[in-house]
Amino acid sequence: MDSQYDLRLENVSVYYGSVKALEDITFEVKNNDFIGIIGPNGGGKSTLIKALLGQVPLNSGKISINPEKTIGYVPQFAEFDQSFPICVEEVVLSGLIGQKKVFFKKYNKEDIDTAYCLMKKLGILELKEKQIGELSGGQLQKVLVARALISNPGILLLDEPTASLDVQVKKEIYEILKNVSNEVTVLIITHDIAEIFSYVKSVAYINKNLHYHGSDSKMRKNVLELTTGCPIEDLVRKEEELMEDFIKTGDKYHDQCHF
Amino acid sequence: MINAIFKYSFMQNAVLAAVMASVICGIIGTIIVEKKLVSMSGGIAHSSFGGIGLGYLLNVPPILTGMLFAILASISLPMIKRKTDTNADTLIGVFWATGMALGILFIGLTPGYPPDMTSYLFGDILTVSSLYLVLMGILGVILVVLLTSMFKYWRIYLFDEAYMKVLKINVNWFEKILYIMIAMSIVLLIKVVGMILAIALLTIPPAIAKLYSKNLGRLMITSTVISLGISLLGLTLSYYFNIPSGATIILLAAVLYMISYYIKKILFK
Repeated sequence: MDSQYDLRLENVSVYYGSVKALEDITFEVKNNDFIGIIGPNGGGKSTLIKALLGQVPLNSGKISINPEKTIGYVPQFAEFDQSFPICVEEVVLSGLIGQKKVFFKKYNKEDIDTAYCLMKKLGILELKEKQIGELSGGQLQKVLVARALISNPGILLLDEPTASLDVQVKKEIYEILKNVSNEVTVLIITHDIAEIFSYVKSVAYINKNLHYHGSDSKMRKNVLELTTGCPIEDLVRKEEELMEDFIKTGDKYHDQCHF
Repeated sequence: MINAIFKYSFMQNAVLAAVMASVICGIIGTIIVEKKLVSMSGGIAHSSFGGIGLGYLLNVPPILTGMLFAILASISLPMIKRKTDTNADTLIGVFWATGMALGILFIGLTPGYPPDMTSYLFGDILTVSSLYLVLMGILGVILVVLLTSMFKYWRIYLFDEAYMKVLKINVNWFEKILYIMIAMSIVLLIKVVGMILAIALLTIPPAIAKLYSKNLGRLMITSTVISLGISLLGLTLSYYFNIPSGATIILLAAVLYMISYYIKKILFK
């Protein structure tokens, strides 16, 4: 595998029973890229992340991950119970679990220093003893980013980290991710089409199929055209088809108005 | 009552049972409440009734067959749920009713006079046998060792199972071990407070503890202490006033919960 690519998807398809989630997706994510994945709800964005994490079986195709890198993951925070009795520091450190021994596991000084350093960078160090339910949405999201980063992954996947956050907090999270992307490859699912373009280096639009993937200067225009509904070629084609239909059927629609 | 404890071995057994039940409740109860497994635990408790009935029919100690049924239920429930994609709530209802029906059927088939089932339904801490005490002791030790040796793992399993999967840790093992522990705990608690009341003893002390603590370890310890306090007090009251011990313990727990709730409301407004 070409080592300058961290993630490579080749003709990946995923079906849930007979429901198509992803079809024939092929793209590559470069080393230290910051890629935004956009597309409609139900378009397979989350399935893509699950596939990258190895949590859904592929019906066809192949996913290659740079063997020198590990993956960090930031879920949507709706996935767990926020009243659970656990504090910020414990959540962040839990990102290290599974690395060393299982029985009588203790975090050493080094682990705790790493955690504090990371939390300081993200501006959540003073919250370390708070129970997670006492945090605001933005603070909680930063905690989850810290948990994902503590194991020092080479690739960071985020599933709508800014959903239901206000504009100011969204900006903060994106700034953090932009800094992170200097050293780590970042792949983010998002609905913030208006905001992400000032931060990401490339964009992929996914709606079952991959419709657009690029990082050139026309990126924004192309994607905005896509997100207005359907791909621009489709729009053009549909118009042509309508016109053809119209010509074929004659002035049928107006005819209906005559009594 | 102190005299009675020295004098009668059934009182010694009762106090020992209360102590061990409290440790089990403190640990398993906190887990059930935090992992939202209360109704599943109810399903397991009631399906064990089938085993208890079978024990009477085959003339073996009902606790052993009851435990077998509870463990089978706790293993097959999540398995069937995954295989058939049925709603967990619905499956729990099926297990709940089927277990009870089997119990009634087996007891009906048992020759001779029907055995007195009220001690299984409502508990009778004063007739706890030494077999129970040994089983409770073993379970208590296993629980404490399992929990303390892998505490950080259990905490993450309870908090965010999905993330544990991302870290490529085998979540199924944690689930299996936990469900078996829940099944065994419930069957042992049945003798102390009864099947119907076991769920209350598992949920009320952690609920009280949660009003004041937001740390998982401390929650378990506080729940244990609360369980111990109310079961010993309940035992004393039932001894002096000659009232059913299981019901007394649960009512005390409920009253204590109400009092703690209002104290918290007034103090930490």
